[in-house]
Amino acid sequence: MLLFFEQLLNGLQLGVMLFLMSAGLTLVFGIMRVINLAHGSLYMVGAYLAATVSLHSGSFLLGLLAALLASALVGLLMELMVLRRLYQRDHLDQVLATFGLILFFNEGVRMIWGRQPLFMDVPQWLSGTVELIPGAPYPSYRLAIILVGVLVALFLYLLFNHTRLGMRIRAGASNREMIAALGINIKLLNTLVFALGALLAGLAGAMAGPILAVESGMGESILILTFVVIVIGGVGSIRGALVAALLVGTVETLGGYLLPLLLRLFLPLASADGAGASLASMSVYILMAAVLVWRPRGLFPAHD
Amino acid sequence: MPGSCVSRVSLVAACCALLLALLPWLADAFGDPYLVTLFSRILIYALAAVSLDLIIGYGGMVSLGHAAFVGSGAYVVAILAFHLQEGAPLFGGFLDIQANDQALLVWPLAVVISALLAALIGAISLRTRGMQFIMITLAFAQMLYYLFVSLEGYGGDDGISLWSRSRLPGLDLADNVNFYYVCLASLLLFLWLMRRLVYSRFGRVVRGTRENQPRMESLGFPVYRYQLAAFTIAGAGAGLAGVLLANQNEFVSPGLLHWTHSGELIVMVLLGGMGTLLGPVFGAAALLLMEELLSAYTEHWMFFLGPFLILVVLFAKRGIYGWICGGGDGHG
Amino acid sequence: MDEPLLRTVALEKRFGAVQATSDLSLEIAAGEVHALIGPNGAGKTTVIKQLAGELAPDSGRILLAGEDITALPASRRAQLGLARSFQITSVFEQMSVRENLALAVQAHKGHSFRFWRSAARDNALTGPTEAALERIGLEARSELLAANLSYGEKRQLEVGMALAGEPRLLLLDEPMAGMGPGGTVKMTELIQSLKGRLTMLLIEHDMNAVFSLADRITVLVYGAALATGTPDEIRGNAEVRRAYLGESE
Repeated sequence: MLLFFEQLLNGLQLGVMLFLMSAGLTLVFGIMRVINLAHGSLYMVGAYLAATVSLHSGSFLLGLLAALLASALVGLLMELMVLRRLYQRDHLDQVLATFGLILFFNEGVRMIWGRQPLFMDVPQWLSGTVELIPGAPYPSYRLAIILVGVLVALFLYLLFNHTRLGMRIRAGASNREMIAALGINIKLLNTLVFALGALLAGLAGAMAGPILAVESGMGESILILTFVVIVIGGVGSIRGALVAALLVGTVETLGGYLLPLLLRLFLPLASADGAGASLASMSVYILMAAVLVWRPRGLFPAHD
Repeated sequence: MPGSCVSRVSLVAACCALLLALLPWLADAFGDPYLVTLFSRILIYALAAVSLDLIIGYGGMVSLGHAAFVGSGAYVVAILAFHLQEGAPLFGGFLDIQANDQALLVWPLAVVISALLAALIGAISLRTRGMQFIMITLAFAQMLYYLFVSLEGYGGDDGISLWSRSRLPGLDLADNVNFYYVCLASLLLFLWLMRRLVYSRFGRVVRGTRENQPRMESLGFPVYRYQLAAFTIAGAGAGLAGVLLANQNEFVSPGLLHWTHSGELIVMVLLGGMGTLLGPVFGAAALLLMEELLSAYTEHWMFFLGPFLILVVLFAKRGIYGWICGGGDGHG
Repeated sequence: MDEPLLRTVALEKRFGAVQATSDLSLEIAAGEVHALIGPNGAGKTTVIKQLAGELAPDSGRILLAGEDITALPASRRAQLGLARSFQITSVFEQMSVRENLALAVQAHKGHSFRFWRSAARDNALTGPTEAALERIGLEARSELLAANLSYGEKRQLEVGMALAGEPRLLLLDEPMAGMGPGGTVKMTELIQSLKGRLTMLLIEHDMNAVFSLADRITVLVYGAALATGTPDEIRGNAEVRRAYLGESE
C-alpha cells in the first residue's frame, strides 16, 4: 500500500513534467497550427545548461536560471529563424524542418558535451525526504517538482483567465481569425507564445536533470509522451493538457507497477513479469487509442 | 505534366536502371565489394520510401510511424529464425506454428503481419486529421518500439542476430550479389505495382482525397475505407522492406522501429520528390550516399544534415525529381 | 399530393447562441427548381450542409423520397442521388478536367476497390465522362489541369461534376457567385437546360436568375422559413418585401 502511494506520487511528478512540456506545445499547435518536433530539444537544452552551470557554480538555482534563459533564448531564435517561415506551409514541411532541428541539436549537444551522459546532483537543501504518510518517506526533490507544477498551473490559470494578453492567446488558440479581427500583432503574439512554451520546456528539462541522465536524445522520449498528452487532452487546450498529463503520468507509472502484480494472479511469475512489462510499456498508447475511439478530437477540443 | 519532364525523367531512370543492373560488375571492377552491400541497402530503403510515398505523397496522410511496419516485417523474419536456432517452440507451444527460415513461407507471412498491423493502427489513426494524425502515428510506432524493447526473450534492446539469411530454393541468398538482385527485383516489382495502383480507380480516389476530402465525400466516396486500404498497402510494402533489411543485416533490433527511422523515410520521400514514383528512390539513394560520404569526414555529420534539411524545406520543395524535371515546368 | 422528393421536418441547428436553422420544414417536389433565398446570414448554406450530410442537425428529420436519411454520412447520401456544388469552387486542381469528371462518374459506377486496371481506360467510365464534358461544353479544355481553368470554367466544371453522377436532387450553392455577366448567362442556360429532368435546390443571390429559373421560392430569415410560393406569390408577399427585398416603409 505504501509502495502504491509512492508510485502514485511518482506518477503525479511525471504528470507535472508532461504538463510543463505540453502546456506550451499545445498552444503552439493551437495558435500557429505548426507541428514542432523540436520542442524536446528545448527540454534537452534546459537540462544540459542546468547541469553544467550548477556543476561549475555549485548553485542549483543559478543552474535553473541559466536553463530558463537559455531555453527561452534558443526558442526565440528557433521561432525567428525557422518556424516563422513555416506557419503557412503544410504539416509535412513543418515535420521535416523541425526534424532537421532535432538532428542539429542532438548532434550539437554531442559535439559540445560528448557522448557520455551528464549526471546532476539534487541540491543539498532538497536532498532529504518528507514523510507525507508515516512510514513512507518520499524524496523532497520530487515533491518540490510537484509543487512547482502546481504553481505553474496556477500561474497559467491566472494568465489565461485574468489578463488581457492571456485571454487573447486563448481566443487565438480556439479561433485564429479572431486574433486578426481584434487587430493584435500576430507576429509578436506568436513569438511570445513560443518563448513561453520554450521557457516551460526548459524548466521541465532543468528539473529533470537530477532525476534522469542528461544525454543527447533525452528530449524525444518525453516528446512522444507529450504528444500523447496533447492528443488525449485536445489540441490547443491547456485544461486538456493538465488533465491528460496527470492521467498519462499516472498510467505510465502505475502500469509498470500494477500490471505485473495483476498478471501474477493468472500466470507463472516469470512470464507475468515479462508480459506485465510489455503491457505496461504499451498502456498509455492503449489509453490514447481508447480516448480516440471515444472522442476523436480529444477530451477538451479547443477548435470547432 | 510537361513532355520534356517525362522524357528527362525517363532518361535518368533508364541510366540509373542500367547502372543498378550492372552494379555487381562495377563493384568487382573497382575492387570494392562493399558497394554491393551499400546499394542493397539503398534499394531496400527505396522500397520503404516508395511505400511511404503512397500515403504521404499520393494520399496526403503524413504518417510519422512508417518505420514500425519496416521493423515488424524484420522482426517476423528474425523471430521465426530465432526459434529455429534455439529450438524453442513459438508462443510457448500454444499455437501450432513452426519456426522457419524458408523465404517463400516466411516472407509473405511477414508482409501480411505488417499489413495487418498497419490496418489496425490506421483504423484508429485515420479517425483524426492533420496534426493529430502525425502525432498518433508517431505514438503508435513508438509503442511498438517500446514493446520490442521490453521483450527480453528476443534480446530486448540488443535485438536478435540471425545465423543466416532466409533460404530460397534455387538461389543462395548468402551470396551478396544474389541478394542484391533479389532486392533490385523486389523494388522493381513494387514500383510496377505502385504504378498500376496510382492510375487505377483506387489510386484516383486516394489522390482525390489528398486534394479535397469533403468534396470526395460529397461525390459519394466513403473515403475512410480507401485511406485505410492505402495505409495497409503501404504497411505491406514497408514490411517487405523490413524482411529484406533483416536478411541484409542478419540482425534485427528495436532501433529499426524507432521514430527517427520514420523521420528518415520522410526525408527520403521529400528529398526525392513526393507524389512521384521514382522520387523516393532518388531520395533514398541521395540520403544514404550523403550519409556515407559525410560520415567519412566527420562523425558529427547529422549536425550538418539537420540545417541542410531545413534549407531543402524552405527553398527546394520539389525535390530531386523536380530538379531533374527542370525549374520552369511548374508542378505536374 | 405525392411524397415530395425531399422533405425536412422541423429541422433545428444552433451554433452557440446563434439559431442557424429554426423549425424548418421544406418540401421539394420531384422535378421542380426550388430556390432558397434570404439575406446574408439567414442560414442558407447551413441548410444545404445539413441536407448534404456535412452538418448534423440538432433535431428534426430529413427524408429523401420518404426514406429517412438524417443519420446517413455524406457519401451515402450522394450514392442515394443527392449531389451538390460548393459556394467556394471545389474542383481537383491537380487533375485534368476529364479526370475531375471521371472521378465524379466513378463514384456512381461500381466500387473503387479496383487496384489494377487503368482508370483512364475503364470503359464503364469513359462514355459517361465524355457525355459530362459535352454537357458543360469544356471538350476543348479536357486535358488541361483544372487549376489552369478560368474562374467561370471552374464553376461550370463544379456543376458538371455534380451532374456527372446523374443525381436525383441537385443542391446548388450559389452557382453564379463571383461570375461576370457572361458567365452568369452561361450558367443560367445550363440550369435551364436541366429543368424538368432534374430536381434542384438553388441558393443564389442573383435575383434575376432566381426569379427566371425557380418554380417555387422559399424565403429564409434568421434560419426560419418566412414564406414559400411561386415567384409571383413571393414578389407580391408584403412580409417578404418588408423583411428582405429591401422595400422601405
